[in-house]
Amino acid sequence: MSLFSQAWRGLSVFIREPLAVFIIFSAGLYGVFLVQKPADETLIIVSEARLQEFYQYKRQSFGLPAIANKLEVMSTGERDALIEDFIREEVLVREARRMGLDAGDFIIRQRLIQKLEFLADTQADTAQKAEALLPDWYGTHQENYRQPAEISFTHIYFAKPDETTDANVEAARVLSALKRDPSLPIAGLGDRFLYHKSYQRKSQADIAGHFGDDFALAVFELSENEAWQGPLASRHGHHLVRVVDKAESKIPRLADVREKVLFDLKLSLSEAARQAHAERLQKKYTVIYNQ
Amino acid sequence: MSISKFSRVGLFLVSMVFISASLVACGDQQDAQNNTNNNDASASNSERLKSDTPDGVYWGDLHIHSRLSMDSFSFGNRMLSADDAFKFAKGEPIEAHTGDMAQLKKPLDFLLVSDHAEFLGVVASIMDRKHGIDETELGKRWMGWLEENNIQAILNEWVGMLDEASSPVGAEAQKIEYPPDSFFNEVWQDMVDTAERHNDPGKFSAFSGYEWTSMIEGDNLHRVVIFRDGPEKTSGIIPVSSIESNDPEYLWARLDDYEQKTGGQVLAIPHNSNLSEGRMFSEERISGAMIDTAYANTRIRWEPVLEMTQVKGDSETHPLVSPDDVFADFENWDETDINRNEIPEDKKKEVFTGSYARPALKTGLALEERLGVNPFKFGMIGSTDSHTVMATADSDNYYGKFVDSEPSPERLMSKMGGILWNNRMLTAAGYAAVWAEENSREAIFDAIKRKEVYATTGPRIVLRFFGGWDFDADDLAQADYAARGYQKGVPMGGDLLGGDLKGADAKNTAPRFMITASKDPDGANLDRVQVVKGWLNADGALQEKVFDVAWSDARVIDPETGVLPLVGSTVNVEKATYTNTIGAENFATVWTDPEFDSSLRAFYYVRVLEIPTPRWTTYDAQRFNLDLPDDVVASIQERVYSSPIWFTPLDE
Repeated sequence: MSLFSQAWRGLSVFIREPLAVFIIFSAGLYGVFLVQKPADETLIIVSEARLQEFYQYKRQSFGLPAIANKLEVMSTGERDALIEDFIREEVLVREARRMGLDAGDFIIRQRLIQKLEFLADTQADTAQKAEALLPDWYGTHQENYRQPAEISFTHIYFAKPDETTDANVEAARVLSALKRDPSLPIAGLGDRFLYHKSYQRKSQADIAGHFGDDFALAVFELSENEAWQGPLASRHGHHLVRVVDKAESKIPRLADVREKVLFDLKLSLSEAARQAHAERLQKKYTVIYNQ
Repeated sequence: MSISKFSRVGLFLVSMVFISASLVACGDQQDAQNNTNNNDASASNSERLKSDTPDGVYWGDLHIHSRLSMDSFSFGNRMLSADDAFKFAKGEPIEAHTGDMAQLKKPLDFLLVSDHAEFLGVVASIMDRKHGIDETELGKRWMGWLEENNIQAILNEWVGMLDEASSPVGAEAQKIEYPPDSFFNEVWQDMVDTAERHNDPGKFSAFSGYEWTSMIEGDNLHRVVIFRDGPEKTSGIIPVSSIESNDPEYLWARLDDYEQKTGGQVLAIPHNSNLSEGRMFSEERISGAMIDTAYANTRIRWEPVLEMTQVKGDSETHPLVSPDDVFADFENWDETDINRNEIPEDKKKEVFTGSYARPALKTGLALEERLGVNPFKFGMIGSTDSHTVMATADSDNYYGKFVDSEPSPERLMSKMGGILWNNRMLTAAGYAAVWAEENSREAIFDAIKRKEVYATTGPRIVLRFFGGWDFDADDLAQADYAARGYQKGVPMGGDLLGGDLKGADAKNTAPRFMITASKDPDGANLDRVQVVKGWLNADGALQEKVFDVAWSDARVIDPETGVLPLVGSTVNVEKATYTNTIGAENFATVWTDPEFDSSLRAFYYVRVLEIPTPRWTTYDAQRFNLDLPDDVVASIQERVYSSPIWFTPLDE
C-alpha cells in the first residue's frame, strides 16, 4: 500500500467527520487571512508556509517545534501526499465558499471563529509562556500569596475573679504546680470557657473574636513550647497557654504554592490575551448601526 | 427593544469575542488542573492538633452552586466557578456581579460546591467549548440560543426535562437528547480536582458532591449528596440525576452502589422540605406504597441530617402546626411549593405536617412505634443554597441567591430571575455547625453521620448540648464539662435509652440536659435558650412543648400564663442598628424535664434565640435610602437549632 493511498484513506475517514469539514473550512479561510489579499479564485499557491500550516491543522497540534520541523524531514512520498491533500481541500473549500455554504451557517461561523481564536492563543502559547513567566510574576505578585501568621494552642481558663478567688492568683498557682509536675492531668483545671479549649491554625483575627484583641496580640508573642506559659489576660479572665504550633506570617516559597500561582497566572494571561485579541479583532471591523 | 439586523451582527461580534475568550480561559484551567495532579507536595501541613473528643465547632456551607448549575448560569452567573466559591469561603475577596468586592467577615472552615446534577455543566461547557458538548445536537441548538441570549428557550427545555422526570407515570412530554456519561464524568472530574486543590486538612475542608434535584409535581424533594472521599474514590463516578429517576429510593440505591464499589462513604442531605407540599416527610412513598421497616432503615441510613434553614426559608416549624410556639412564625415561605403552585388554605395544616422538621420528628416517633425504626430521626444543619458561589448568611453582608439578588437598590422590589419570588423574601441563612475532633473531611463527615451538628440562620453561636441522667450544676462549672458530657451522657444527635434506667429509682428519674450557649463574638447578645420537646402519648397522640430553660435580663415567667416576657428590642429601623444593651453573652444550664414519662418516646432539641437585630432588608433600606416594603418584617431573632437527643423507652 502506498503512502499516498494510506493518506487518502485516512483523509476520507477524516473528511466524513463534521468536525473535519469545519476544520477544513477554517484552514482555508485562515489561509486567505494570512495572504491578506484577495487571491485569484482559480490560482492555488502551494508555499512552504501554507503546507506547514495545513500539516499542523491535520495534526491538530500547534506551536511545537517538532511539528514545525516535520516538513523538513518528511520523505518525498509523504510530502507528495500532503500536497495532494492540501490541493484537494483547498479546492473543496473554495468551491464551498463559492456556493455560499459558509455564509448562513451559524455553526460554521462559530467554528471559524473558534479556530481563529485557538490559533491566536496558541501563538501566544499561554501554557509555555506561563511557565517561563512564573518566577518573575510571582516576584511581583507575591504579596497576594502572603500567609497570615497562624497559631495552634490549648489553654486553661480562669474566670474573672469573684469574691472568693482571684483569677490571676489562681492561674499563677496552677502554673507553678504544672512547672513542678508537667504530667499533672489538666482536664479538671480552671473554669468552663465560653468557646474552645484548643485552637488550630488560627489567625490573629480569629483569636481576637473569641478572646479580644489584647490576648490575640499577646498569644502570638509566646514561643512554641511544650511548657505552659502565661497567665495571659483576656476579656474573659486569665489563661495558661501551651503553644503547639506557630507559623509567622510569610511569603511562601514558590515551590509550595506553585499550582495555585500558575493557575492564577494563566488566568491573568488569558485575560490579557482575550483583551488584546478582542481589540485587534474589533479594529478589523467597521460597525454600522442601522436603526 | 427591537433587534435590527445590524445590532444582531454587533451582538454576534461581541459574543464571539466572549465565547472564544472563555475557550481560551478554559484550556488553561484544564492545564492547571492537570498540573494539580502532578503536584501535591505543597499539601503538607503543620502539626495537627487533634483531640480525643470533639472539641471544636467548625462552620461551613454544604450547599453552594457555581456556573456549572443550569439555573445559576442561566440567571446570569456566567463566570463564577467552584474555584471562586472555595476562595470566597476561605475568606478571600471576589468580584461580585455588582462590581463590589464581596468578602466574608469571617472565613468558613469547610465548603461543598453542590451543583445540580441535571444537565451538570452543560451550558457552561457549551460556552467554554469543553468536553465535546458543543459537538452534540443539544450543544449546537443551545449554543445558538446562547448566542441569541435566548436563555428562556434553554430553560424551557431544561425545565421540561425535569418536569417530565417528575410527571406521573404515563405522561408523555417532549424528550430532549441527554449528554453522554463521558461528558458528565469529565465535568465531575473537574469538580473533584477543584475541591482537592482547595482541601487543606487542619485549616479548610473542601468536599466533593452535587445536588440531586427531584421535583414531583412541584414538590421539592431535592437532596445534596456529600462524599467523605477524595479523588482516589470519587473520580470514576457520574453524579446521579433525577432525570434517571425522581424517587429518592433510586438515589439511595445508587449511593449504596458507590460505597460497595469503592469502599468510600457518601450521604444525602434533603433541603427545603418547606416547599415540598408535604411530600418530604410523607408516610407514603413515591411508588404509592406506605413506608415500611426496610424503607425506614434505608432512609435514615442515607439521610441522617436535614438542611432545615437556608435562603429559601426556614423549615423548623410553622404556626399552623405549632400554634403555641410564639417564635414559630419565622421566614416560613408557606404560600407555595417550589414551582410556586399555591397551597390551598384549608390544606395547609395537613401539608405542613409533612413539610416541616418538628412535625416530621414527631411523625418519626409514631412510625418508630409501628415499624421499629424511625425514618425521620434526623439532625439539623443550615446552608445557604447560594447560586452565585458566595456563601453569605450575615444579614449585614448578604449577597442573596441569584445574580439579581446581589446587593443593589433594586433587589428590594425585584423578582428572582425576573419572574420567580420577590427577592426580598429571601432569608439571610444559614450555615452548618459541626462538632469535630479536627478540621478534616473525614472528621466533619463522621460528625454529620452521627448528627453532632446544628443549624444556624447565620450567627456563629457556639452551642453544646448533652443529655444524660445525672448531670448537675457541678459538672457545668468544670473546665472539662464537655468531657463529662461525653462520659456521663450523649451529645446532640445521640440516644437516651430506657434501659439505662436501673434500680428502684428508675421510674422517678428524668433525663437531664447540660446546655451551654455563647454568642457570636461579633454578633448580637442572646435572648433565651429553649428546649423543644416532642413525644408520643400512649393513646397515639403526638405532642410538643417548648420550654424556656435560660434567659437574660432577670425576666420572670408570668405565673398566670407561664409565659416568659419578650426580651424587647434595641433595633433602630431607620439607622439599621441594634445595641447589645439587652440579652446575655452566654448561658449555661442543666435542665431536667419536669414532665418526663419513661414509657413514652420523645425527642428534645435546643433552640437559642438572639435578641432582635435588623433583617437584611432593613440594612438594604438604610444603605440605599429606600422605604422598607410592608410585607417584610423590620427585625428578626436569628437562631440556632441543635440536632435532637431522642429518648426511647426500650432496652437496647
